[in-house]
Amino acid sequence: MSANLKVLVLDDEPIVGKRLAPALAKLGCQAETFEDPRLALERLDQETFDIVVTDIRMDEMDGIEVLERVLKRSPRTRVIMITGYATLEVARESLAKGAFDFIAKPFKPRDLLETVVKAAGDLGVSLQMPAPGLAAEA
Amino acid sequence: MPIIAISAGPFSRAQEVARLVARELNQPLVGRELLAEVAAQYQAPEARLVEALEQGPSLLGMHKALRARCLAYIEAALLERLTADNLVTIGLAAHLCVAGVAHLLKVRVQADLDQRAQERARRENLGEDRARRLILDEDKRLAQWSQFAYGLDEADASIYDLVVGLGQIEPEQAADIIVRTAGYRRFQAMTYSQNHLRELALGARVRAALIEDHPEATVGVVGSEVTVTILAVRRHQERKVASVRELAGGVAGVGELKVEAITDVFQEAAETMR
Repeated sequence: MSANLKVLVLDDEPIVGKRLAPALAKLGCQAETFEDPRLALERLDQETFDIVVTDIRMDEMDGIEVLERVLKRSPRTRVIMITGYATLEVARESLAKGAFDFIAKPFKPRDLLETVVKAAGDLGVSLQMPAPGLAAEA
Repeated sequence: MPIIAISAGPFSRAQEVARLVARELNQPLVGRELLAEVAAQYQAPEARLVEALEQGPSLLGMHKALRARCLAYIEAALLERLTADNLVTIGLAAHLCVAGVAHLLKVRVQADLDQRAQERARRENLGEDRARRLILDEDKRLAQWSQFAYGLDEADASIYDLVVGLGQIEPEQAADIIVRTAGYRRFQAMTYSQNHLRELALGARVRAALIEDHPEATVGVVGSEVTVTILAVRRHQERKVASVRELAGGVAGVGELKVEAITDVFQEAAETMR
């Protein structure tokens, strides 16, 4: 089942999707990456993703809005929030609104993969962490 | 579950509330008994540690440098304990010394003055008026202490996530409110807050290692990267940087260590004028 786990990554910094996509593929996930929140939401309307990783502060849209729209459409989807502007208030708000986890940038792809593995476990899917070696920061 | 830090003025029955919360959540309660461990670990007299946590500034009171040292040791031990998550703490100033950790639920338990005076009068066999005066004095002293040590008034409701008054409810009901609040999603542990807490704990360990020889040092932590900034006159910088490297480099969890020396121009000017 792990090969079928669908993950959408949304971050307006291209480097994030570029680094995470191959790392997620190594986990056995089907990853789609987006830099434009509007395109990501269009895609989310077409397809139900198991896990969504979204930045919070983007020019076009607030990640909290993405979170709310994803969970409205698919309450089962686990949403992981990432941000370079982490504060206690935003972190708590994200969790209160249903985020699965909240990660501050910069982070190592491995840190995010560990959270994806936890989110997959929460969905009843067992994923194995790949061997260490993914140390670049997102 | 979040970490729950409970604060209260003396004779507010907060210990009772904390015990009930810990029992209900089946979590350890970490209180003043931690000071014995701190005393043993840092060879600091336990009485001094207690004094550092209670006494406000006074002419004949604890020296500022000694207080800073004692608080640094307490913070290092407390933060280390908090990184284990799932615990209740009281009496160690966690509500003051831990900032920005989203899964630390800060709770103030508040009893009204009459209740507290009755409690004190009963326990110490005093008249209620005398007990009331003593409590007011102690509240004043604690307010001075928290301002002096942490720049915060610990009686200020705005620094807490939850304030529970015991005026109309029993400690069991107060504990129930705290337990239910702790169950809210917004207070649950997350990667960000756990990492932040680990960074605070590492910073506190490094500060505790440095505070005797380098009380002026400031410590910043990102992940396991530690940056220590010290103030020194140029002719002492090399020696001081080496000393910081030796002390901080030996602290568990320190990865990359940067030591930055800022020239103490005022000290240099003072030395020139001598």
